[in-house]
Amino acid sequence: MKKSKPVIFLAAVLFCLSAFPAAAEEITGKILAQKIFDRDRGRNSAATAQMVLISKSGSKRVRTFTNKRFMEDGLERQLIRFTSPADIEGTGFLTIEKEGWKTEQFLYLPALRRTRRIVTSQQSQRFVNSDFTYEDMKRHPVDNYTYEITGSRKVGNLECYALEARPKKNTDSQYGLTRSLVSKKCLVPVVVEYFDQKCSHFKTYKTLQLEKVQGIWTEMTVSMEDFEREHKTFIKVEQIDYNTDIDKDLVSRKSLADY
Amino acid sequence: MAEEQPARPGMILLSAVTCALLLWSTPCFALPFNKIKNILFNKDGSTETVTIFFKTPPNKVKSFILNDPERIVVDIKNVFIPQINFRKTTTGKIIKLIRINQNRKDTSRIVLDIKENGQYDFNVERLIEHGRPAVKIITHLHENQAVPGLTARTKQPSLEKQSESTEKSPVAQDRKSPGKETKENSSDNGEQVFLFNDSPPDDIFAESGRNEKKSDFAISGLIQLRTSLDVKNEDRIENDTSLKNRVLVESKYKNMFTLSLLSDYLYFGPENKTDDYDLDLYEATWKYSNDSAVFSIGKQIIRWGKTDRVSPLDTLNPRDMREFVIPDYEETKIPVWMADLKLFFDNIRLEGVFIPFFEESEIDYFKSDWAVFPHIKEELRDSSLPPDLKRYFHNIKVHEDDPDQEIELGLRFSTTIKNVDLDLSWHNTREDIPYFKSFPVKNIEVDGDISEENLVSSLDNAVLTNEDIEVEYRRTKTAGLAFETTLADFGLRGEAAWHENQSFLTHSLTSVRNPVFEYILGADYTAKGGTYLNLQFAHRHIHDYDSAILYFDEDTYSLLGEISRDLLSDWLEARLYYSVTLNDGSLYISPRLEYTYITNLDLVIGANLFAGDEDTWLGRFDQNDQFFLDISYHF
Repeated sequence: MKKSKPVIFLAAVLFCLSAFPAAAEEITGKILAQKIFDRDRGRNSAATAQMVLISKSGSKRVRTFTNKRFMEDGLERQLIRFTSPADIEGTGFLTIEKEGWKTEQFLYLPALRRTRRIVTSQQSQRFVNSDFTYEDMKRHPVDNYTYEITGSRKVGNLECYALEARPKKNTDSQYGLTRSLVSKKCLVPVVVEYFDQKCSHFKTYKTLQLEKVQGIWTEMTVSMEDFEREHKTFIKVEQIDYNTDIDKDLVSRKSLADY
Repeated sequence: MAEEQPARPGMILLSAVTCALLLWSTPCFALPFNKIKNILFNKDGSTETVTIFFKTPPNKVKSFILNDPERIVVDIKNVFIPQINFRKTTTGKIIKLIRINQNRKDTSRIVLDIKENGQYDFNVERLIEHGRPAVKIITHLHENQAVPGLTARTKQPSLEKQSESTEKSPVAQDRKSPGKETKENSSDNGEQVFLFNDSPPDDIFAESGRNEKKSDFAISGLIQLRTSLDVKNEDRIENDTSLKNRVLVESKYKNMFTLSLLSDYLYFGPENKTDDYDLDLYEATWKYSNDSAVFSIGKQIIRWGKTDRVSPLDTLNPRDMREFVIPDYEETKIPVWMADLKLFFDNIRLEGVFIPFFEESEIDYFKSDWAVFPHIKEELRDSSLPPDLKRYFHNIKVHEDDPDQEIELGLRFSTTIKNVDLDLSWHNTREDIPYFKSFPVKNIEVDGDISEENLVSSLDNAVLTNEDIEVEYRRTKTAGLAFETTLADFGLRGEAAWHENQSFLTHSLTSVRNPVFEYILGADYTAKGGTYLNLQFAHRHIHDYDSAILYFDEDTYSLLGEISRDLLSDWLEARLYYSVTLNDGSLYISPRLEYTYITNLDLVIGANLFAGDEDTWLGRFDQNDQFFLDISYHF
């Protein structure tokens, strides 16, 4: 099977981005995107995190969740389970990558006691009212986009590539363009600006804190700001462990509904 | 000269003040040129380092220790920070919290709050790190090993030290702790980069603690209050208001044991008032789960079927039907005692359910707007009927036969083919809704509008039998297929069910039983603006149809579903539930606004509206149109 190739959308929250050695070769946008994808993120990981939603009026909602991720044969599956507050507790979200990039997403709502499939038309919908969409919650094939490195910039003390990605003609995406700043040292996208199909910048993702955990660069605090809604989401990883004895069975449809 | 001096004292004073103000205003409002660009925290074994990067090299750095609580303080002159203050908790053993603020107009103060973990050293260096000017604060925890070059500064109050001004070689960010490397990559652990300018306020995240262990025991619950007021008073006797209060308290242990209690109060009034209160064990289950099986036993709810709000294959649990379709479908389900075993194979799931005791759906026979025979006794009491006949009707009672064989069995086979989820199910069961074996007034013929007028007009040839309304719950079997998939932008789902027999009320107010085949096909779609559309088409075919059956034709077609849309951010949503019987045009719609601004609190305000002829399934509640308010608090 050809190895999957993603673009650098949010799939990265809670995922670790490895310290990939800075390449001596001349790097192209596509090679960079491929390297970001190929970084070591561990066989699996288990994390607990907080999600904070800040509304236009400044009101704050805090949510906590667990995240379990499992890689097998280059395909990833991830289960997010909200643990608080009470009105969302138990809600589960499962992403399963299948061969040929047929990624499936499922939402379990404990009040309904059943699982629903997420459809394409919902990809641009906000994930549990955050500023991340269902599209942001999965990886995307590198081959579906065209890339260009437009320069380099510094973010804090991190030297970054400036990378632009545009979906190819037949790629279904809510975004017409993404502009990213990718750390040369860590290969972590530290800033991603999202543009809609009319090339209007409406959303920005930022990595606010990076930490090397078990040798893997991990985004410990990230934010996503939607300028149109004037709404902001922060995610902070509180605990993450890589290469644990987590079982594939814990990241499955069986586990999703077993709450 | 002496004469000129008194002539200008005012001018001189004014000029002096103006000059003084102008001269003073410059240091008052100008910010230092240099500024902090970034903060980096790095830990490596017993050494923790905070590196502060600057736009240009800082020229004056002063460090000292303050006590109560103990903290390392570093003042850097002619530097400002580009936000009011900065606070970051760390994962270190020495440094608890990093704080930075603009201590004076030209001085930034870095404060490292120290954990009480024993003795430590610290040192402050100015250097060029990655080509950028920086100040590095290196701390080292004493663990019987000294690190050369670090100065002991433990617990010495107000110890001041002017740091060196020459640039030094960069200190490696990923230091190795001699003799302590036990895990692969451990030398790389602990480096943290704070991208300073975008740091969220520190108090934005709730205090939880990285290593805090969640309790295995959890208590949660729901307090719900729903009240309604009729849109207008249309019937001679009707309940204009209702009040429902549910308090559900649930305890869980390790997702293995679940125990919950439900306090349930339902009031209809003020006319022909009734109120029911129950305090019941709601769910009580023990669950065992391993890689290939899940077994649960106890009082529980198990959902079968895949369609929304109406689900022909969801037959395991009875329902509370005392308010017809007003409550959410899930709220109406009643837990029953059962054992459920699910076996998981690669792409196949087998499920078996055993139900030892029968439990019927909750239905009101009399004295409520939603009852089978709503307010008929009270209406007849006020009618022109002879007193004996009034008394006869008033004394009518319902007698329910306890079923002898109560056991139910269910089997379900599930698989996924491509991206289509399929369930095949079979349930040998007993109907949860009543079969009216006999009615104590024979030889009558009423239509679906069971009112005093209709009944009185059909009494000409009536025979009174002095018996109760005899009710039974008859056995039946249900088998069917459910599916769910996605196709392009649509979610698709459906169910097809065959019921060996279902009970239907007839003109004589007794039941007949007929085989039934029904299916529901549904699709949902989310439009670009965020509007959610859910449409389901349902068809029910009654085999060997008896024309005496009320409310349903031989083939009944209906549409049902919902439309919803966020109105304000994520806390005000408009929703419309609808159900239309295409045969007779009767319908139910429920427009509502859902307000969820306050965490764990849901407020829903809306209306439940019915329309159609009075002898139709939905139209018979035409006079029950109501406004409602529903408040739910989750804890």
